[in-house]
Amino acid sequence: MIISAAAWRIAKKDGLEVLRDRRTLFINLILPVLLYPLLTLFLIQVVQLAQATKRDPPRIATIGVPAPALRFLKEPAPDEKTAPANKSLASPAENLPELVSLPPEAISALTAIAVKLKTPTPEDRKAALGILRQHRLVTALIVLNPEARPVEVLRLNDDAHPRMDEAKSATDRALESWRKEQVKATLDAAQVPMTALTPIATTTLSLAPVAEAVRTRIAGIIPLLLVILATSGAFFPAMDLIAGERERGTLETLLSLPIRRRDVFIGKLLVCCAAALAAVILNLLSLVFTVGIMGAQLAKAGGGLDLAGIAGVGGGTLLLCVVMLLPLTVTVAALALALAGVANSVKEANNTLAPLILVVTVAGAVAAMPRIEPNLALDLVPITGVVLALKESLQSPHLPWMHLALAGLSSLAVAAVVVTWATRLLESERFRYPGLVRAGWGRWRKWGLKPPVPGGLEVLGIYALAVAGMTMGSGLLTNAPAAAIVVIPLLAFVALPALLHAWAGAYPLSAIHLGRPTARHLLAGLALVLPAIALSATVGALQATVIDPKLLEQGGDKVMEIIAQVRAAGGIGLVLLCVAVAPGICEEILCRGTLLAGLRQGLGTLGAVLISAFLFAVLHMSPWRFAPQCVLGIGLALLCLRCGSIWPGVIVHAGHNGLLVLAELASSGQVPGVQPLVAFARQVPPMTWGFVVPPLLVALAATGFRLSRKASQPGS
Amino acid sequence: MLTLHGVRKTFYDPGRGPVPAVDGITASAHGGVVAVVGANGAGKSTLLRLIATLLVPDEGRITVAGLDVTKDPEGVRRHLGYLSTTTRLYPRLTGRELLRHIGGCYGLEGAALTEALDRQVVNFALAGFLDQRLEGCSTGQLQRINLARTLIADPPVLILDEPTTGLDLVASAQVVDAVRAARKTERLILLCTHHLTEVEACADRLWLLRDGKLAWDGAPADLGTGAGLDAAVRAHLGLNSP
Repeated sequence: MIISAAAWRIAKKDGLEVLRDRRTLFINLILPVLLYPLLTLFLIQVVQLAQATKRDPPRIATIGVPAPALRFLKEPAPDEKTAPANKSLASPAENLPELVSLPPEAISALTAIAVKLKTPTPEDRKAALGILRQHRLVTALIVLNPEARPVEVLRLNDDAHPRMDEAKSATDRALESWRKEQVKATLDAAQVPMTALTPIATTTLSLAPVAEAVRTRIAGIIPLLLVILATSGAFFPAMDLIAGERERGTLETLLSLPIRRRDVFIGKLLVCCAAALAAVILNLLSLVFTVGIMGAQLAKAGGGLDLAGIAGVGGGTLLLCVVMLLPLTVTVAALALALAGVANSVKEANNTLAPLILVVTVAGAVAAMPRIEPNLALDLVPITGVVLALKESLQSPHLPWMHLALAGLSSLAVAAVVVTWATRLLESERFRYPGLVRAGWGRWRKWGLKPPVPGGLEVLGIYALAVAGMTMGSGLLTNAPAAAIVVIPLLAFVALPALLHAWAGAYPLSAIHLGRPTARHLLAGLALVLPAIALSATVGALQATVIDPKLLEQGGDKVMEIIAQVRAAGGIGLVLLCVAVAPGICEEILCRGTLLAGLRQGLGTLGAVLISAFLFAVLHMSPWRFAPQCVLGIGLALLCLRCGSIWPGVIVHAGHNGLLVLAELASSGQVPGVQPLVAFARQVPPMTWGFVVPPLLVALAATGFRLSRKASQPGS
Repeated sequence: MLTLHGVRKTFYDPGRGPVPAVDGITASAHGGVVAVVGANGAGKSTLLRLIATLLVPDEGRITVAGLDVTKDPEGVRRHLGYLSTTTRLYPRLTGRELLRHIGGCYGLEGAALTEALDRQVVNFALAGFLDQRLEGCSTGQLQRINLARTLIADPPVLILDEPTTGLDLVASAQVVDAVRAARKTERLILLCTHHLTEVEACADRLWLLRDGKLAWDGAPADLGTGAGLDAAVRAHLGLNSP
């Protein structure tokens, strides 16, 4: 996409407007810089204030506890005595509980309850709690018989007391010290050393700095945070620059100027992206700075955690984050402008944009969840793929290049589709005057383009439905016969949504390339079968030079396994029906019918051909077949546009699939009656094939090209 | 300069169904001031928006300076200056910034832009508030800047949709003066107004619109009878006399 001088002019004007809008300026530039330091300062102040406030120690009562045990409640533990004094933390003496002497009647009541220790009734519990609360006690320690072995100690706790944790810690420590003293006395009497109790001494040495370990654990949140920041950064400029302009009455002024509407949108998109990126970068810098300072402060304070250097993510990683986020930011900014553009006012735009934030947050949060790791399918999912790849990059010692590349490419493709679609929105009067121009849709249309043609966004919705159906619906058929596993998803999730969409939209068959073909075009399809096979086989061979052949074989094995099952159930005929005819018809209806026709409205011919081919390849959900299918998809799309009909492409598609499968089966002797042919083919020297096949393919391709001429324009 | 041939535009109203806002108008104009008059909802603003390429005709053909509005909308807009009650100005820009921006959009640069800007400053007496943000300007000042931005590239076709709405008497008179000043033989000015005094003051020709149709096309003087223009217009629009 070339950014014209007019788009830059609009961007300059809009940028000036945004910079003079105090609200946007505050939210996008000032708030990010101030937010984290201010919040941290507030946090530190609150913690320090809380620590500086003298707190009453937890009150504990003891009944029948012998003097040696009481000693441990009255003095710090041996390890606390040697700990270095720390001004910011409470001194060991301050951690000691306050021992309370109870009046005799309270002692007798609690002792009576303690006697019924094994079977306390609710009334006993209530009475004991009443006594504890009457004397503002957190815990009461009761020893009924100090001479018995083992000594039975009963702890009555008011678990709802705010100082419960401190009281429990103090009593635990004292009882443990008392226990150790008792054990030591017993062992000394038997002349057994204390080490007899700890025959194995384990020492764990954490090699990675604490800061790095903490950083790795929080790495999952950082990409999510960046995505949310990018979205919210585009939020206010998008509202101001479209809905705000419409509300202020300046949009009509702008649209009456001699500038292409696309340039107006691109100018606004530039400002939105710049604002979003500024918000991300400023937030990031502020966050890194704040966390760094906080880590250094904690390290200086000697609080036990050496968090110095926690912000040391590395410039390369930050750059990677920005590069990966760039297409996503552009996508989100374009979507934000598009959504804000359907609103008549900023207030309305708030409502239309809110779902975007929600979708982005959920899609990103899924990826940020623990134990979710990138894979080839998730890489292709917008937002989720990018967040996952970035999470993996921040957590793993090695960069996941394949996931980064796939997620990045997918993100770029989505950005290209969204931006190309969005930049044409202002060319639609429904977008320019949303309150004025209402015409309904499909069968409910009252007026408008005749004959109607599907829009880019709606066909992408149908495609998303097909992918979701293929992904989730196929899981319901795991126990079905192999033929059903192949054919039912194609019919139910690929062809049916496309046909229902055509019916609901009242689109004429010619508008979605389903018109009746001429005999000449069908012959063109027949002629192009072998060239199509040669093309996809060549791409497959090239792909094998860069991708591990084992991976490719694994993918092929799965397909052949299913084909073997179908063949076992119904022979070669059923195999051809399932892997050639059904995909040929169903996938062509969706990809070259609905998708190509709709994308052409939004993206133009070239964009529609490329994106429909990309989506056709994605539909197969097979990385090892991606490149050949993508190239085949481009060829089929061009043929469809040339003929104005999908049917020649159906012949090519079905012929391509059918002949490839037949060749595979024939090579392993599974096709009856073709053995002599296979034997003959193997006897012919390769050199002879080299002389015969290329000219034959060229001749067929030229014939097909010639026969497919004089196509009628789709939608006409 | 401007031709309309069988132009139709229909809107859909949930209550009334399809509403023909412009219903098969055929006309042409080659210069001077054409006043477009009609009751509210007669289709005046829709017609002007169609000419300004802000809306697209459902049927028919519109050409401006020989260019088709559907085939070359940018080219058409290059020959147009459009001002309506809904074309407002950027409040956070100054008058100078706005005029430079608009001039730039019409392709004016450097000395040509400066010269055009200076001319508008003199014509509309903008010097006193040119460097002030527009959010601080009065309604009259804003309308003068609005007229200046419409005329900055000296377009051959000027569309003024109710330019005096919301203005006081003085400001209205200034706008009428500006329309007169902008009139020249090679320029067509389409002036949509509800004030027949303005029609009498500057219009060479009158288009009367009624229910989306062109009810009258001719000189205002030819429409008027002994009772004056006001009564004649009322009669044509089927309105009762006051």
